[in-house]
Amino acid sequence: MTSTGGIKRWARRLIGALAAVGLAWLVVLPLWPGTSDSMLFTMTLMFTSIGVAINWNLTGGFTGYIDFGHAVWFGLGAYTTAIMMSLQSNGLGIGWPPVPAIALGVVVAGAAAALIGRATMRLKGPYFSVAMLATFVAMREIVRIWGGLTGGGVGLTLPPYLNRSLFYFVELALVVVLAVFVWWLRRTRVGTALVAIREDEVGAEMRGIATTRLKVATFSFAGASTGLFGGLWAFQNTFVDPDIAFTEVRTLDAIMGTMLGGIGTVAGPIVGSAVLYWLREVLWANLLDLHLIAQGVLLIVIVLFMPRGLVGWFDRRGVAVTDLWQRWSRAGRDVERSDTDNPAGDRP
Amino acid sequence: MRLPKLVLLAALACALPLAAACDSSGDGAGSSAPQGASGTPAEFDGTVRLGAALSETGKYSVEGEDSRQGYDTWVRWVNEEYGGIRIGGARYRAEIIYYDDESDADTAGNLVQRLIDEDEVDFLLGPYSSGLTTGTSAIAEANNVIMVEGNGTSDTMFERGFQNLFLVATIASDYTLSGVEALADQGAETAVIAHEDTSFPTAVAQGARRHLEAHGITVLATETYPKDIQDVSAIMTKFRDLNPDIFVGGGHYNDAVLFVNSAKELGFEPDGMLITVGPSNPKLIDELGTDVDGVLGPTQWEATMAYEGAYFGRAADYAAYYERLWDEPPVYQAASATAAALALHLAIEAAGSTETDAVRDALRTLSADTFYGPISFDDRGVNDSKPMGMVQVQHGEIHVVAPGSAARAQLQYPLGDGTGRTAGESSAWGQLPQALVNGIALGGMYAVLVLGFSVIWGVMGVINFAHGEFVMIGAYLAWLADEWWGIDPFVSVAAVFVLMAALGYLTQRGLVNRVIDRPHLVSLLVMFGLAIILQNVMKLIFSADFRRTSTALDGSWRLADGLTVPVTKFWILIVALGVLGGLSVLLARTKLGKSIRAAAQNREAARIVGIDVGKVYVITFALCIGITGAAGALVSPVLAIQPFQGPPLTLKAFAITAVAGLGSTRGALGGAMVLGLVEAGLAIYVGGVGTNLAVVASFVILVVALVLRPQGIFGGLRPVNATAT
Repeated sequence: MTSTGGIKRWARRLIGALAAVGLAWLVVLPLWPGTSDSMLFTMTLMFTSIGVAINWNLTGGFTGYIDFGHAVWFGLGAYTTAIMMSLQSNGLGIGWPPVPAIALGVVVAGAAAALIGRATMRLKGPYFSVAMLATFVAMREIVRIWGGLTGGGVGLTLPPYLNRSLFYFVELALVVVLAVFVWWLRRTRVGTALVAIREDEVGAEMRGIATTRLKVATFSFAGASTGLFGGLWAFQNTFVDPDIAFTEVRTLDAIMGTMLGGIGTVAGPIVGSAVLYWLREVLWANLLDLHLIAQGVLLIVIVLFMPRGLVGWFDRRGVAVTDLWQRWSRAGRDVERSDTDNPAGDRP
Repeated sequence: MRLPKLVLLAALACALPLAAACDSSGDGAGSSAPQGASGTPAEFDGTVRLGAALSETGKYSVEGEDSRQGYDTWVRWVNEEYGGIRIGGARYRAEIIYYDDESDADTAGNLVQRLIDEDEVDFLLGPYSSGLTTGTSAIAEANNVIMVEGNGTSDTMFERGFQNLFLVATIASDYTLSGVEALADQGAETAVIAHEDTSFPTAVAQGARRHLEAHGITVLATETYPKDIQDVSAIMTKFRDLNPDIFVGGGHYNDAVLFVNSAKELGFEPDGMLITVGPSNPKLIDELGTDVDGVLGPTQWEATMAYEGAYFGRAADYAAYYERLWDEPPVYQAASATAAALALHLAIEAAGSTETDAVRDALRTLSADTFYGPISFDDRGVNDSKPMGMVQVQHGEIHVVAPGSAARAQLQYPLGDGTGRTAGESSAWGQLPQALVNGIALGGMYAVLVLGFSVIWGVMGVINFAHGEFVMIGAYLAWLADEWWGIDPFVSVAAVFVLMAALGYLTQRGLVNRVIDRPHLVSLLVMFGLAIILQNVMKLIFSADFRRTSTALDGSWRLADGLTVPVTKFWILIVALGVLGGLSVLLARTKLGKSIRAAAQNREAARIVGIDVGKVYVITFALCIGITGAAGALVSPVLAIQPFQGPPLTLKAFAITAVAGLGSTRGALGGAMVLGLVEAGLAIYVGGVGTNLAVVASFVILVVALVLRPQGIFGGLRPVNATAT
């Protein structure tokens, strides 16, 4: 642990105060008279992308399994919710209310992730990545072909229920709970074990860590959690079809956000996704066709020159605030410094 | 103590974009004022404000632009020619606020919400495409804002009981109605249907099936296929053996090209071909020439139709006005957009108010004749009085042949001499030769497409995630050669090889060298970033239109009644075998080949014995990208060229390579052949969804093969080991 000088303590308090104001603002925002539904909607979409990025980071950042098909869980959650809620209009029975439908989506996504993870997590490195990408593409086609249940290419429509404040609070709460959970998890022995899997899976196994069970359980949790965001999304979009529920962009955004913020850190996916969303709203809206090119360039630049992301970059500046970043992002009392260095293997 | 801070910090990060969003929304409204509505001389008493999210970027950017021009045509006309919307005795200026929805459902929803809340629009006009309209119309409904649209026609969105959604165009399920009626009158008895399995084509096909059966026409088979299909030969083989009177098919423009070409190649000659998207587009005639003669297609609107209304005059007058504004003739998407705005305009004037309830009632009771056809809405909000038009390509020209009220020419039916063939053998054994031929032809293409990827991975350990993009660039180069100088791709392939090798050299020097010693994650993501850049740069240069080169080596050899060999694919296979053989000899016999193999097996040892490994890598990469680009040129007459064709090719290359061995030429050929045969077999022998299954076959093979046998099946330059990092 680095020393905590007077300036650093001051800076830490300043950041803490600012953040407190920020969270308080987020909580009271929907109650503010000037707040429009469209602002809440924008924020809700951002919470969704933050949530998915946090989940991606659980396997991608902590255990080092780079998942190129993470959006498959989002699609499964969305579709399960949509199928259960629209049973009536499909003539298959009585439509479920939203809460149990979304809950079933979580279960289905989690169970599918456990099942598929058991098979694919035996693979390493690029083989795992591409196997997951293949799983994603195959699942989209299965949903398309299984028209009796899923509505096929036409998709399913849900009863429109658009209470933006409700979605806002639910997703804000989810993201906060998820972030706290991951922060806590990272500090436990389980979190340490996950990072050990990333650094040296065989070594971890030899130390008595049940690596397979642990990594599949993490994968399954991440899948279930992303399925939850998917179910909520389907509910508020009021419509799913295979191409909008299973879109590569969601995986890409999760990877981009996490890489930008700092892969393998707790705060990384949150900061990165928020900044990415902000960039998109403000800058790229004016670049039109160029914005995807900019995104590709940004990805290369981050990977090559900023592999530890914004969090790591602050860290290296040696600014007072970075001590704080470091503690949050590393959050390890008993973990060696090296183990949270980026899994890509770059040493500063 | 730490816990709350973490939450707070995250909250701070989240709050940041909000502030920005607040700022930007204000700017956005100002900057996107309609270009067409300024500079009007008349004094107006107020403004009627409309809003629309339209796709300026993304996959719908072309149609989005057409829709926008359609809306703006109405804005210009109503403000400059008509003198403003008349409400009571006052005149109101029309204004439309546009945002770019990036062809993305979330963005479109967000923008429509913004139009309602922040821009406080009085009414909404629809976005482009059924998917985006379905999502945004729910928001309009929830906020009690009327949305009138002309370019989202899928049936599902009108089955939700919405009160505020109105469609001026003909609904998707009725797209084929006029055509089916006309064909039934001519005595057609049997039909087959093939459709893309996405939202709109499925709705059209389901409607077609219903109309066919209602008119006593038996549907012998229905086949679906995935979006961006590149090969429909299996579907056409099956249909040929069923010998139906009518073929109904479609999804996207490119599918029309595939169907016409493939039917010709395989000797499938139905009496009538009705293709849902494409025949109304003059480009199809440019591309296919006389082959497309006789093909029927639905159209929402044509400038030659005999419709006329009080505003804009006749259809032809509207087309002339539109062309004055935009220097191009209107496509039906533009006319639909103008008609949507016009219907809203008429309803506002009839209501004498901009109150939602009054205008909704006025829309309900509206009954008007317009340049676009009659407009009146049923309980669902669908225009139930305008029939779909039907065009037929006759001697290289597009003529409206149905319905009677709009027709300008006679339907030609049956095509050809009308005798038809006798139903072919449709037993499993009878189809086997064609399945084998299709499979081997496909395998030949895959072999030449996968080779460069395999060798780069085997020698350098770099997974070239931009592989498919190099194929695409090679194909575009061949297309340029064909377009500018009329050079056959089988000739220009040599020049493409050289150019692509040079590009490979630059890529290796500039980018790949930096990632070669780094972990897989780094090279994977860097090449992935490169792929995104290349796709979008090519889209900027060439647009997202599908292109195809033409070659002298086309057509087919008919060996027997149920067996044809596609000529282009045969020659691709021959070249593929040549390239594979050449590369094998290079690797096995030459000094360079030995150096390459040495560098692949053990880089350090190779260095010690005096091999310049860096140089070997540069040569390998340049050579492989050259081969990859050349492969793109070779397949350019067969696979449609477009900026986003790469990723599926990359995935297939990965699947074949990981299963068949890294850098193994024999493995590449074997793996490609196996995949080709499996895909062709699935497509021919599985009914209904065979073509869909063929598309996922490679992914299933990949996952299963890796999980069951992670050490790979064949040897290669570098061992496959999927369970070790």
